[in-house]
Amino acid sequence: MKYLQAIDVNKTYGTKHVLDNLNIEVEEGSIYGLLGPNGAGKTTFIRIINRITLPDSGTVMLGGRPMVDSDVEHIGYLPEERGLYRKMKVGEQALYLAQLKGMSRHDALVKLKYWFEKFDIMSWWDKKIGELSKGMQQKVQFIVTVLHEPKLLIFDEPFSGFDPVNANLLKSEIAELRQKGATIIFSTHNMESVEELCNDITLINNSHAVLSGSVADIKQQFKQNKFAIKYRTTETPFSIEGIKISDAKTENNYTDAVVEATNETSPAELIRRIAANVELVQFHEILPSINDIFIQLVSKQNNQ
Amino acid sequence: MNKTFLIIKREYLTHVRTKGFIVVTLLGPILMLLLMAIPTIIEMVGTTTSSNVGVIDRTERYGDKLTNTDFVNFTILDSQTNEDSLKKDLKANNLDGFLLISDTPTKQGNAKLYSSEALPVDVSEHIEHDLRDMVRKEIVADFAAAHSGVSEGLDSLLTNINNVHATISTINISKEGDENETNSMVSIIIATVTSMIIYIFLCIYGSMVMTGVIEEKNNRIMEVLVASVKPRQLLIGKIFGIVGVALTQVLCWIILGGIMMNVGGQFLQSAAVGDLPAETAAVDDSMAASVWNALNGLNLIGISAAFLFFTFGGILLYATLFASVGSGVDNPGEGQQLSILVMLPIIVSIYLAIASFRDPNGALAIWSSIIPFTSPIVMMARLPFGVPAWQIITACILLIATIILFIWIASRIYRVGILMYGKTATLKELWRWFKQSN
Repeated sequence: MKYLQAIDVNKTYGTKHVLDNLNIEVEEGSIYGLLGPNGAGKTTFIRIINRITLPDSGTVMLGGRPMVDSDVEHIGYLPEERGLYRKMKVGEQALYLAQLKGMSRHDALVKLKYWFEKFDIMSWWDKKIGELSKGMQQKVQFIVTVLHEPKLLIFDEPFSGFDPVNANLLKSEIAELRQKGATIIFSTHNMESVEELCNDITLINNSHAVLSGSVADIKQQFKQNKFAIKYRTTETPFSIEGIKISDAKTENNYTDAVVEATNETSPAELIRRIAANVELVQFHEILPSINDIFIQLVSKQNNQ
Repeated sequence: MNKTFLIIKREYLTHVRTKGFIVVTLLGPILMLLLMAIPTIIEMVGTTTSSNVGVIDRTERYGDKLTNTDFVNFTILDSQTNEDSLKKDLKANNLDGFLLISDTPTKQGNAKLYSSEALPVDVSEHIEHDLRDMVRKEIVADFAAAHSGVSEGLDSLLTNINNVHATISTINISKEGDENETNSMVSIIIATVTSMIIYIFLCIYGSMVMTGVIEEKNNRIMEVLVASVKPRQLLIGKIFGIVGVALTQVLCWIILGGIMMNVGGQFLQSAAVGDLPAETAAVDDSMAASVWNALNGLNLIGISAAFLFFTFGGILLYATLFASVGSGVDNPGEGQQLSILVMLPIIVSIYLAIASFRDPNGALAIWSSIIPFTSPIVMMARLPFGVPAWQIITACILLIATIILFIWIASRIYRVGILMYGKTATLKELWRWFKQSN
């Protein structure tokens, strides 16, 4: 089931068209990646989902019906620009922000106790945020984001501000939240995390959605029929008609190389023909990384 | 719980718990009392040193009639003493200064007081007073000599003339025909204190709101907040929270001030009865009575109610303006610069208030006490002198309407401004933000 749907969403600021007929569908319980260079319109779209700003036209559907203001109580949002009141005490502040999300004081206290004990930070309760280190503040910020058990979680560049330890914690907590049924949207240009975590992605560039689909499908779509092979090194370099061999590197009697069929040749046929010439020990398809696809698409478009 | 209320509560508690607030709230009345008591204290503490003043009287008519007091002691010198040589050795003659009377002291320069170090003002005032008396007596004596037969009783006539002090009691006649005795001094004090407090509050609490908004922007907590509540709720919560803080402070001051007046008043009364000679006590008594009458003549409850209303309204209006300024800038420094625009009407109000003391019912005073931007301060300055009900009601209605209008305008600017970083908004940009759809 689609949990979040954006249908023909448009937004302009002054004369600048920030989102142009954006369509996005997020499957319930999936981890969705929203990719794009800076200024592409990702943050604007996220602000629209959070009802911080409204689209000029178009609809955002949540759980099968158009969104209303009170839906933000079921959304957890970790903005790219994040922060807390420096002079306010940790516990008091978390309680305040949880209540603003519509939790009762009692529920918030119970949940806060759970999370503070889980992260072993109960002793920070009466400290001021300003007294905590950056990494500690990030933990508090994360708790504040997920405390009200939102059905939809939105992380805008979640790994940019976090140190590696907290980033890993974040990843494992996100996996856990997803198992509990939360739908998660990542907005990022950190492609490694996208490949690691996301099921589906949309690439936004210059206010348009230029690419949408599952990570696996997109990789298939952009593959260039290249294969990596490894074989026992022969005394004379081998060549096969209709197959381009490049990047050969020899080490310990084995050679690694990239082969590319110049015409339509099935992988099985390729293996048969290579194996006829050399002692083949490894053969696998080279799929482009999302990073490659991203750079390829964005630079092509922006050069036009 | 209502989210706006949560925001009000946080804003209120954050400020009320600060050390600064507690100190100012508790010490405010004491400081104010000290300020009022300072002249008296100085007078009590100030040691009266006695000055030795030599007198060279070339006319030989006045010097010996100067009276010694506890702060000045006159030594009559030879009337032909050379002043230039005396100037050089004042110390040797054990003098602090000397008075040179070269002719009848009715013209500037005929009597001169020389001293190596400045003599207390009291000394020159005493000399002037004595000389004036002597010259007046001379004039009377001359008149008597010229018109023989009227010399009887001229001295007592002169004394009587000197003792005349004209005082006026001003009485306001209200619509119902009641007479209220007012004392313009008491009215001026009440007007000054109330309008000054509102002035200070507008400045302090206005910039407090602005700093708060800038802090939330700088902290980058703003986006977390607006993902939970509407910017309008945030703005209203902030402003009303601050108004709550201000009202708490005023109420504390009124209560503390009341207690101190009560205790202090009793103390002064018992001290006065015990220590002062009967005559002075009687004078004090009549003054106290006239102050009391004046206070009774004023509608104190009405003035207090108006004071609370205009404090409340004024802070609401200006806090709203300061909040929009805060949303348009990134750091407090830029905020201070832009806030001058908002400060301007507050400062103008104070000048208008001072002008309205002179003419509480002039056109300028009336209009500026009705126009919302100046009304909180100017109306308080006029109120103790009596203001027609229609003007007060008009001012209140206009103020409320303006507050509602400006909260609406400010929330439109605010919702855009709080998410803008990296530049100071110009007035043109603020206008564009206002027009921008959601």
